[in-house]
Amino acid sequence: MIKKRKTSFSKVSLFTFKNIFLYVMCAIWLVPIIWLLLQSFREFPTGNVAEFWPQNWTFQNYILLFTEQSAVMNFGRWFLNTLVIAIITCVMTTLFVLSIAYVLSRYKFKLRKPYMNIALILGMFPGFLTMIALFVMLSNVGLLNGFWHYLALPIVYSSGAGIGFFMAKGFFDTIPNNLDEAARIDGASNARVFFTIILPLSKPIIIFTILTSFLGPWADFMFAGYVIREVDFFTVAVGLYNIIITPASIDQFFTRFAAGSVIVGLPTALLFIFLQRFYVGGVTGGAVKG
Amino acid sequence: MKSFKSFFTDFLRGSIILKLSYFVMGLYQIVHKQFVRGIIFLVLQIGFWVFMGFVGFGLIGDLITLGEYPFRLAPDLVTSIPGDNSFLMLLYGVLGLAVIFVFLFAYFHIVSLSRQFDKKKENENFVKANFKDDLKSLVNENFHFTMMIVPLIFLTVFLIVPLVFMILVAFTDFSQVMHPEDSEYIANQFFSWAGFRSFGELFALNPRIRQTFFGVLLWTLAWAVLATITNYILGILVAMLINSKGVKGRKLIRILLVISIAIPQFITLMVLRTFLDDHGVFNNILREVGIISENIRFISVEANPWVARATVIIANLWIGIPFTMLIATGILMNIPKELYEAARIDGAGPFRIFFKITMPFVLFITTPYLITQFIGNLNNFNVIFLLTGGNPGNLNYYHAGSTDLLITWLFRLTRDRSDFSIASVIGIMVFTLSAVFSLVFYRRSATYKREGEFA
Repeated sequence: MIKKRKTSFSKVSLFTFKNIFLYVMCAIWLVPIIWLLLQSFREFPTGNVAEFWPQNWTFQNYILLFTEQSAVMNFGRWFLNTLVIAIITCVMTTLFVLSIAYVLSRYKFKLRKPYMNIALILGMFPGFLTMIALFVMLSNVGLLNGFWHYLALPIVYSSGAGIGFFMAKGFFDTIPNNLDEAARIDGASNARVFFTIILPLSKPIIIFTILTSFLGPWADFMFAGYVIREVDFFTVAVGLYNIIITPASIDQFFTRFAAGSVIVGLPTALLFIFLQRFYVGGVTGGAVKG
Repeated sequence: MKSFKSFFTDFLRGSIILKLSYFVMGLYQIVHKQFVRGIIFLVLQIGFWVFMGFVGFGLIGDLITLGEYPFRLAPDLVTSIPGDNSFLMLLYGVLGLAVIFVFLFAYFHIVSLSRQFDKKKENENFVKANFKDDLKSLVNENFHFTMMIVPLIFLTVFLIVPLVFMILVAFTDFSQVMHPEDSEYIANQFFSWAGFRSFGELFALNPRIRQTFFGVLLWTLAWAVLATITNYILGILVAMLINSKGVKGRKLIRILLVISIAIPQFITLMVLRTFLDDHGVFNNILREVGIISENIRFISVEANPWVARATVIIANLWIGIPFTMLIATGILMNIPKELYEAARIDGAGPFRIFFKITMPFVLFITTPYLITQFIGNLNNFNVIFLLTGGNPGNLNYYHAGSTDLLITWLFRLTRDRSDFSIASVIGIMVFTLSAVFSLVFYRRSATYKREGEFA
């Protein structure tokens, strides 16, 4: 009797300890993010980056973000730029990824294996080795001028689809082949099989591809930062990264960087949290199959 | 190889028309009344030779010489004559090569069409396909061609060509100091082929570069091993803790932890960098709590290299643990419940169950994940670049800092120094490293699989 009570007592304390530990961990994990959120409401220029709690609160950072247009700031414009680029990228990438993945999953043509090996090998080269050459190529054909940026970036982003199809292919591999066969016996063409049978069954991977390719341009500060030289055509990532790149500008712009980050980070974080179940399934599912 | 051989034997055996069509594309089709097909092939060939005649051979010639004259003064010794632009010559040369490869590919395909046709013709049941059938086949037998063609063109032009270009740069002496912002300057470059000179400099000839290379390489490997292992073990432990009995609000905990990886890294890591600044919030908090009396330099230029390295590895947990946790959660949920039941009936305690069932199962499933994580960490540009930018600086190094990975060093060399040839040699090294490791691991995990399925 006594023994039993003892175990249940230690069990309860173990449970509380676990819970406390996990929630403390969550709190620690959120500290930088909460700090960022607080900074976005700190009145500028009072106080400095080094304090956790703002002295004076204001909504001014968010208003300034969308009203101020200077040689280094034009957030509203950047936001629109990114939106347009993300939508075009998302359409192109999704089309490319789905077609390549489907072909490699279903057709046994001669160059299939070599192509997949080449894709693996190409994927191992550091991506930004191509930046300099791409910059010169794109600017020489005039694609880095004004509104042509809206085409230049999606083209480059979506060209990665040729090597980034493995997850979608893994998904198509799981759709039983006899579905296609049955439709083909009924006289459907290969194109028809793809559009009317495979695609409707592939909603999860389509959603996943759409969302991940849509998110890409919002996070890319490297390539976009290197090729875009006109402030008016910056994406949010390039613009926000550029305004706090030097120690001096951190003091001046950090509150606005924080506000911009909240505006960019909130939707992307929500999308990611929505995506995580596909992500978990996809990463491990693809990995097991090799 | 076999098809390569039959390319010649078919030529010797085939009809005179087939023989001729080895040289005049489309001739075979035109003779056999497939006019549209034949004319398209013929136009393709004519177009190719026109291209070669007007531009192609010139491009290849430029690719071989990379130009002859550097920037020089005119005879009047006042005006200057811009030098040959080796950069563009190399770039367009590679593009020209791509066109030639595509044409050769088309050529072999078209010849093999004619060859097959030549063989099948003797067969009575053979039905000749006309152009309409060709078009129809694009949505049927050749649907894969229709679907692949555009993505493949994009891949070739915007990924393979620039990559080949950069790899070739490793074999030149392209390394002039210039302003990275000045695109005009990039467009006025003269350099020439230099064979393996840059490789030699990196490995032996230039003591400072050699020292930097091996130092940075060592830290890159150490970082990759430490970052991968710490993230992996702690991430799985946290995932198991969340999954264990008695935890309230599992979903909420997972979402709260995942926020740090849900926001783009240029935001989270820049925030962390500002957070850990010499005079930043973290130092302030530590001082007010009374843990430290003087600010610690975590990741700044003057920081102690070992402090910076430790900080980077610990800070990386902030995004590493949630990531592994996310992956591991799915796996833990998939462990067959019967395994646990059976073990419990056999009288196994919780520790035994953990070491005999949970760990092997998780390890079995996550081996490929572990490999990709390791490779990913070898090339973890974002964490190092955004967090420390390679700092603290190291005076013994050639434009590298104490936390620089090969990949961030490479970037520094292209951005600050324009040492393009050395940078692309490093790029090739990074690739070799990734390829060797994944090959070795892959082999091992393949044998691992062959030993029998788990459970």
